Amino acid sequence: MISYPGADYLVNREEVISSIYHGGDPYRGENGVIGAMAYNQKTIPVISLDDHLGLHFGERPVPDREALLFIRGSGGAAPFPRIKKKSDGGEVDTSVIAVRASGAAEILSLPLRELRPLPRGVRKVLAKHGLLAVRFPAGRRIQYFIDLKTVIILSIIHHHNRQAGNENPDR
Amino acid sequence: MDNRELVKKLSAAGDGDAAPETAPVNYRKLVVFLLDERSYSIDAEEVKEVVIAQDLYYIPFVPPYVAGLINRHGKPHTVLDLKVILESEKLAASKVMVMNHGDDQIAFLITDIERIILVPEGDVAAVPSSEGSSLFQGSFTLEGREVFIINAREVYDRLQHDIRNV
Repeated sequence: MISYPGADYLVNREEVISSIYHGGDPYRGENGVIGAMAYNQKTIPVISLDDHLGLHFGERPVPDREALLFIRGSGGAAPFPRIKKKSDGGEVDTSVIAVRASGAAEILSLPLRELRPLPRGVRKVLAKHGLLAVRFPAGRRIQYFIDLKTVIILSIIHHHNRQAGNENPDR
Repeated sequence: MDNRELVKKLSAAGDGDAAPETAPVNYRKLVVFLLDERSYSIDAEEVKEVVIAQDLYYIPFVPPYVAGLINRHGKPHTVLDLKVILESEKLAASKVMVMNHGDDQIAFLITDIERIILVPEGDVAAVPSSEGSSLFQGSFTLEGREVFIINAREVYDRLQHDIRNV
């Protein structure tokens, strides 16, 4: 679970290979989605969950806190879009993706029955955007169960579209 | 008119009972509700319950008239703001009508319930065809006001159409 001021976001623990807490911001500069970093002798992309949640859920980053979650990337059923490095035109390795999140992360064990499928009329469309279910814990909060892989793919596509727009401002 | 003429007229009217035959009156049971000051109505059988929605939770990637989700007995319900559809303005309210809509969970945001009434079918007038009129099944007059009857099916169909294009 990753908590932000507005809501909590649940991700499947099995998608996460490992995580680290980190301060500072060394990842910007190299091209990727928001950046790239070295990981096990590879250059892997860094995706900002904060950007995605800010864009679509109105969340604000939590200051002075940052975690990197390493997610299994391509090699699954849905391969990730390719990401080229600006520096040499080579491709960033997407077998692992780093997801940067400033929300407080904790590991929870939840019975599946506590996750509620979304109403049928909006379910398919929200799933396409990576929102799979919700949970209503005690209190007046909501927890969104998100599919990190879909979020990553959407972030990469968004990044590509933004780059294409920058390169062809008349389009 | 003397009695002879009277009898003649009665005979001409037929051999039935003295009282003229009248068609049975069919009534529609409608829930009249308020969106701010304005009254609308909907078939009562479409409405499951009316509740106060304490919390309305945001959802992204939906048309602007989807106000969010509510938690009703642990089940999320999609809340639609009819005022956005009908009057292009957001409704600031906290009551919802939870709808009977098969296996989907949908609720309409409302200001309040005004009353539940029986309206003779004959009193329901067709809405002139114009843009948006398919959202109404007709209208009737209540205390000098024209009250439109919402076509719930059309609202659901609109959501299905619009959500694919968001």
